[in-house]
Amino acid sequence: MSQTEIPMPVSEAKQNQEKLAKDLAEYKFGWSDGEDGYAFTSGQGLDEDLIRELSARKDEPDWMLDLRLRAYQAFLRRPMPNWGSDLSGIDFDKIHYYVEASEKQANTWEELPPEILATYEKLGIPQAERERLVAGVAAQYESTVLYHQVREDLEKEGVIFLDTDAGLREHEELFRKHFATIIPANDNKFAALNTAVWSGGSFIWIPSGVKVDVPLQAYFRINKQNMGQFERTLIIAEPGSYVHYVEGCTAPIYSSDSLHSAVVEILVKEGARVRYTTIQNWSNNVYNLVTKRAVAEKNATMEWIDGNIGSKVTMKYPAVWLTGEGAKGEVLSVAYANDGQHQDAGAKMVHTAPYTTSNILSKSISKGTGRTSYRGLVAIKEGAHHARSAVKCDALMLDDTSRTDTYPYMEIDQEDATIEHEATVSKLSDDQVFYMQQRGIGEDEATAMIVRGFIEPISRELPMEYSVELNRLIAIEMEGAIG
Amino acid sequence: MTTLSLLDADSLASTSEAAGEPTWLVERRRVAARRFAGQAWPDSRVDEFWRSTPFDVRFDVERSITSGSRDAAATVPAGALADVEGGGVQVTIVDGVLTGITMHDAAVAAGVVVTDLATAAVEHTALVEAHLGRLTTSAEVGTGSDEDRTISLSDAAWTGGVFIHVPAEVELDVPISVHVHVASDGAHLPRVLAIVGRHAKATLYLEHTSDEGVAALVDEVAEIVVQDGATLRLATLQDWSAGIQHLGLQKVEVHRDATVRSLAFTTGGTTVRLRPEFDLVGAGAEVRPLGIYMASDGQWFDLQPYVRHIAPRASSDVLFKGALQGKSRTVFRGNVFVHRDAAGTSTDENNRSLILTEGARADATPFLEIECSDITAGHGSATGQIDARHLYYLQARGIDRETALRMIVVGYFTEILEEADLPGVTERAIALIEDRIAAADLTAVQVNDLNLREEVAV
Repeated sequence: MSQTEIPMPVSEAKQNQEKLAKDLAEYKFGWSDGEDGYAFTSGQGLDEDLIRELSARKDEPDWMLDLRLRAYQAFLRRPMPNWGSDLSGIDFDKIHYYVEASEKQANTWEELPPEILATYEKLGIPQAERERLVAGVAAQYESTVLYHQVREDLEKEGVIFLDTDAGLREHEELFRKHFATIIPANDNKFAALNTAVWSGGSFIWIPSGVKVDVPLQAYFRINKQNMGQFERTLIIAEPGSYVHYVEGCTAPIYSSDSLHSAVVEILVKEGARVRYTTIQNWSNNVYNLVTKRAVAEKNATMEWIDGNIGSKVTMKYPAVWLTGEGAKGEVLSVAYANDGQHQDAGAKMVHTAPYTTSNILSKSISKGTGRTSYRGLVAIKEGAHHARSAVKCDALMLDDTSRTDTYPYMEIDQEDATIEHEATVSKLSDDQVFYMQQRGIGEDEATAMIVRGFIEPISRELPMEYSVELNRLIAIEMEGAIG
Repeated sequence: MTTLSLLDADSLASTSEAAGEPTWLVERRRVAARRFAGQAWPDSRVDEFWRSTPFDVRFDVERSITSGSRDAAATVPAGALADVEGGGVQVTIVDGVLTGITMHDAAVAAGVVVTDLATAAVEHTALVEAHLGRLTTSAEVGTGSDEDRTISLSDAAWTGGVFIHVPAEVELDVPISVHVHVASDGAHLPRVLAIVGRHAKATLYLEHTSDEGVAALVDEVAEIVVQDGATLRLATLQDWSAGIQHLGLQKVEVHRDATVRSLAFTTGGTTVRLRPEFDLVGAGAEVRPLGIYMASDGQWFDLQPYVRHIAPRASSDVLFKGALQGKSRTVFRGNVFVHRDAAGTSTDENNRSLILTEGARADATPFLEIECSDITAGHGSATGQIDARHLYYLQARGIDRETALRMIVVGYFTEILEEADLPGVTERAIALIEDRIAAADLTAVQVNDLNLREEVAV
C-alpha cells in the first residue's frame, strides 16, 4: 500500500468488500496469498535505475541491459494505441514492475513456500504433472518462475525447456541469435515495455526431428496487487520437430488493476509444427496486453489456440508470418466477455511466400455489459503467389445489453491470392432453449449446451483436460445467463 | 485568394454577406470556419478512418477556391441523360458556379424545386435553414462527419450549390441529374441539399467530369433527406480525368419505411475517397448501397460506405465490387453500426475484388459494430482473380482470349448494374468499363487456375 492513498469512505469500502465477495464467489481463482516472505519487491513505477537493478539481480550480460534500456526509451516514445479498447485506466506509475516471491527455483513442489504450493495445488498443476498429462511444467509466480521440471527422457533427447532467465544464462549464444528478432524491441508500446522489464517466461528449443508427444505447460499467476507481469517466451522448433505448449493464467481479484504484458516469439523452421494454446482466465482487474508472433518457414505449421475468458481488457492478436513456401498458419480463437469485460482479440496472418495458407476461426460470446471485438489482419505481400486465406468469425450474444464488433483488415498486394472472409452474428435463440426445455433440460443447462456447441469447433482441438476446463470456465461465467 | 489552409472566418463571413446570403447562413459559415480553424487535416497515424489513405500524400490542399469560369459552360461534356428518351432535369455546376438548370415539364407540373442553393436559402428559407448542415453536424447518435476537417471546409466555404425538393406524394419518373464539371485548377466545393418528401419517388444522379490536364481538388458534400415512405434511386458517377483528387460525402438520412437504392460508380480521378453514408433513423427503412469501381495504373480509390441502424426493423445490404489493374490501390472500408434500439435489424455487407494484373493492391475492411442481439447480420469479402475455368469455357466455344476476358469483367459488374437499373447510367457505366478494359494490357491479365487444376486432376 502506498502512503499517499486517501482512505475511502466506510460505505464505499463496504460496498467494495461486498462486490469483492461476490466476485470471489463467481471467479474461482480470486484468492490471494500473503507477501511476507517475498525476496524482492520493486516500488511502484518504472525508471532506468529499476531496470539496471533488475538486470543486475539477474546477473545479465551487458548487451541485455543495453537492449532493455533502449526498449525503455522506445516505450516512453511510443504513443498509447488510439484504437481497440479503452486503456486510460492503466496507471504506469502505480505498477510494481519486478517482484520475486522466492529467491530460488524449486525442482520439487515441496521446496516451494507452503502458501504458494497450496495455490498451485488448488489450481491442479502438480496433479497434472503427477498424472503425466504434461511433459514439463513451468510455474511463474509474479515476476519469476518458481517451479520448473521437465520429463527426463525429453532432456535426454536434447529438448531445452527452461525459464527464460535460465535460458539466457545457460544458452546465451542461441538466445541472443533469436531474442527480439521476431518482435523487435520497438514493435509497439507494450512490446517495448516488456523488452525493458521482461522476467520469466519459457525458453524452448526442440532439436531437429524431435516430436514432443505430450504438451509442455506453463502456468502464470499474479498474486500481488498492482502487479505488472512481463513474461517473455521464446520457442525455436528445429526442422521437422513438433511441440505443443500450453499456458494458463489466473490472478486474485483486487479493486485496483494489474497489467499483464507478455511477449511470445516463435520460430518454426522447415517442416516443423508448433501449437501454442492459451487459456487466459485472469481476474477482472487485469489488463492483458500481449504481443504474440510466430515465423513459419518452408512447409512449417504454426497453430495458435487462444481462449480468452478472463481479464478486464484483453488486446491480443496472435500472428503468423508465413515466410517460407508452403507454410501454414492457423488461429482458433474463443473469447467470452461478461460484465465489464472487453475482449479485443483476433489474429494476424502475413503471407510473404508463395503457396502459403492461413485459416482464422473466431468464436466470441458476449453477455451483460461485456463487449467482444474480433480484430484481424490478413496481408498478402507481393510475391506470395497462390496464397490462400480464409477467415470466419462467429459472434453469439446472450442478451440485449452486450456488444460485439468485427474489424477484419485485408491487405492484398498480390493478384492471385484467394482470400475469403465471413462473419455471422446470432443471439441465443429462444426456440433452441425452449426445444431443450421440452425435453426436460433446465434453462441454464440448455444455454450452456448451446454455448458449448457454439465453441465446439475449437474446444475439440484442445487436449481433453483443457477442453473440459474451458467448458467448465464458460459454465461458471454462464450462471444466470438467462435474465 | 488564399489557399485552403489559410481560410479565415471573418473574410468568409463578409464574402457571404456581400453575396446577399441571409444572416443565419453567414453565421453558420462563420461557426464552421472556426471549427475548421481548430482542426488539423486528417492524419493516417491518428485517424482510424484515414488509416489506409495518407491524406498529405494523396490530397493537395495548397490550392485556392475556384471562383468560376463562365465560358467553360459550353465545354461541359454530355451527361448520362443525353441519350435518355424524354431527358430529365439537368443541373450543371462548373468550377464552383451553378451555370444552368434545364427543367422538365413533368417536374415543373409536379412542383419539384431545383434551384441554386444560395437562392434557395432566401426563397425556401424554412427547408434550407432546417436541413442545410444538419446531417454533417455531429449529433448524439449516428452521424458526426464534421470531426473531419474536409467536411468543416465544405460547411464553411461551399460554393456552387444546388437545392432539390421533391414534394410529398410526387412520383417523379424522370431523373434529376446534377453534373459537376471541373474545367480549371484549384479547390472546388460543390454542395447538394436534396429533400424527398413523404411517399415521393425520385431518381437523383451526381455526375462528375473534368477537362483533361486539369489539376484540382473537389471536396463535395451532399445531404439527402428521404422522408417517410419515400423512394430514392441515387447514383454517383466518378468519370474524372487524371489529376482530380475527390473527397465526396453523400449523407443520406432514411426515415420510416423509406427505400433507397444507390450506386457509387468510380473509374476516374487520381484519388477518390467516397463516403456513401446512410443513417436509418425510421423504423422499416431499407437501403441497398451498391458500388462499382475499376482502378487502373496510378489510381487510388478509398470507398467507405457507412450504414447506421438507429431505428428498429430496418434493413441494409451493401455490395461493392471492384476490379484493379496496373499499379493501383483500392480500399474498401465498410462500416455497419447497429444501435442498441435497432431490434429486428437485418444487415449484410459484402465486398469483392478482382485483381487483374500484377502490382495492384486491394484492401478490404468490412466492419460490423453491434449493440443489439435481436438482428441478423453478416458480412463477407473476397479477393481473387479471374477463374481460369470461365476463360476456358468461353475459349472452348471459339471466343478469343481478349474478347472472353472483356466479357468476364463486364459480366462481373453486370449483376450490380442490372440491379441498380438506372436509365442512362447503366449504358454510360458499361461504356466506361469497356473503355478501361480497351486501354488495358489484356496480355498481362493473370488468371487463377487452381480450380481448373483441381478439376483436371480428378
